[in-house]
Amino acid sequence: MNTLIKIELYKIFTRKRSYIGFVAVIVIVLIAQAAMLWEGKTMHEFLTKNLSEAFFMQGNLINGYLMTYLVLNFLWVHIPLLIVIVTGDLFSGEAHGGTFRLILSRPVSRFRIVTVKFIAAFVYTSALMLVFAVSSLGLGLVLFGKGDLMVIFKAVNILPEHDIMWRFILAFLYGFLGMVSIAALSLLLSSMANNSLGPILSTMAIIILFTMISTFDFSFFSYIRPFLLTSYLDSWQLLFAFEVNLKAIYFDAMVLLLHVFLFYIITVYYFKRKDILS
Amino acid sequence: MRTRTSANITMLVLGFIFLTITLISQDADPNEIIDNLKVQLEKVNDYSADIEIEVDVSFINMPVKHATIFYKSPDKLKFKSDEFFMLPKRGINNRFNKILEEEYTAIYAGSEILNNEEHHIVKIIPLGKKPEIIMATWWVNAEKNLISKSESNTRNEGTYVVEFIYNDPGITLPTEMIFSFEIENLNLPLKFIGKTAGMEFDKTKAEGRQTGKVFIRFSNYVINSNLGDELFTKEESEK
Repeated sequence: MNTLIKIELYKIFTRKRSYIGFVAVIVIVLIAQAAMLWEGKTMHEFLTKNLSEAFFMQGNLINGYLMTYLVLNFLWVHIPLLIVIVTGDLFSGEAHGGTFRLILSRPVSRFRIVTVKFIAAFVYTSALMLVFAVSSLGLGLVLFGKGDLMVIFKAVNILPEHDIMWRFILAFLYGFLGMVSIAALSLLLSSMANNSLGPILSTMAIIILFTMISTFDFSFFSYIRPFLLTSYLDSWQLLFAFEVNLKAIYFDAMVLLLHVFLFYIITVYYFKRKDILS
Repeated sequence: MRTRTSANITMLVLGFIFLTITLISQDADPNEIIDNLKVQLEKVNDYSADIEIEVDVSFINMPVKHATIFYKSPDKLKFKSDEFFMLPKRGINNRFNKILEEEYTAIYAGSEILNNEEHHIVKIIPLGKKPEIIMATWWVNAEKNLISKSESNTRNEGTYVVEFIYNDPGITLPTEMIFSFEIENLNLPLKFIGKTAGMEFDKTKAEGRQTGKVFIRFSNYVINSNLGDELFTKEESEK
């Protein structure tokens, strides 16, 4: 099994397109941080205009934590695309290239192939998330320093410096889980396709459609929303409430995990019956 | 005949009430109260103290913050802290000395029992050109000559009330100040920065004004240590 995983990872990391995500994340974080460095104060003044009329404020609010929090909000929309570019091709690429015939002529079960591809996709996702976390938080703290974090979430929450890092660690872990569920969806679609572009585009189309439904505040959508994967992707923000409702976050994380498991089961079921000869 | 008698009685009662008010009013001379107050205020030329700040505004969640306050008469004020903190703009810079330095009219407005102690109510009307405070009402402790409560009607910042609690009998400075003020409710682009799906956002609360309170608790006072003016310069404040 380990050898199979190593082979799968070798295949991922020897392809140039796998590095697009890493480069894109670093470039986007750098651009966002530079923009914050340039315009952060103005933006913060805009956000706190109401408060500054009544309150005298002192202290460093334009700090690495705020920058990371804002970058996180901007980037969650784009990271799925970067992941899907790679994971959406894991099955369909091989189906297109005809390499499944070669692999399955070896004594390896289809169940193992699916499992290995899922594990490799999760390793890639975690590597991308690690780069994202280190570049956004690490660079943010180096460029802007530490301080209390002001988050506008239901109210203006001033989170003290000593109470922030654990929230970011859990937020990145939750984000990882969200991205893993996107990767699992793309793997499912990839297992059904015989060309690379189809599963990548269809995964993105599903994410965009679901995100729109999750975001629009129409009462009609409120019935559908709980059944959509995208409704649970941004629950990491709950970690930045003044009093964190861990139960709600745990529930949302379980829903994401359930999606991953379901996508995996369906992929195994489908791939076991897939005709690889045509 | 009966109507005339009742009218006479009413006149007598009103006359008595008026006489009583006049006599009571004559009891306290507002300028004398202010002079006694000035004596107390002039005892403190400068001070520094550790402060604990607690904000009680429905849409602000901030843990209790700590800072050091530096004050020099009549109106120099500075804060130092490693933490971020917020303080109400209105009333934080007590302008008692400042008001009394300029021309004003004092009116005695009766007395009231606050915290089981008798207080004179004095209304101060600054007479300067376009003063920021249009009228201030002070509740002055009749025995201790200390301000226990002040209500300020300002030109641009509305009305705010500050209560002063003195729990250290050795000093004439408050150990706690409670600021009450009106504040516009939060009006921020929430969608821009936070998860809003399923958010129980009370729209009625989001509009209009509400009352906020800020509690400042003082400890470790160092009084009249001759704080230098350079402490209050901008460069020093930025450190």
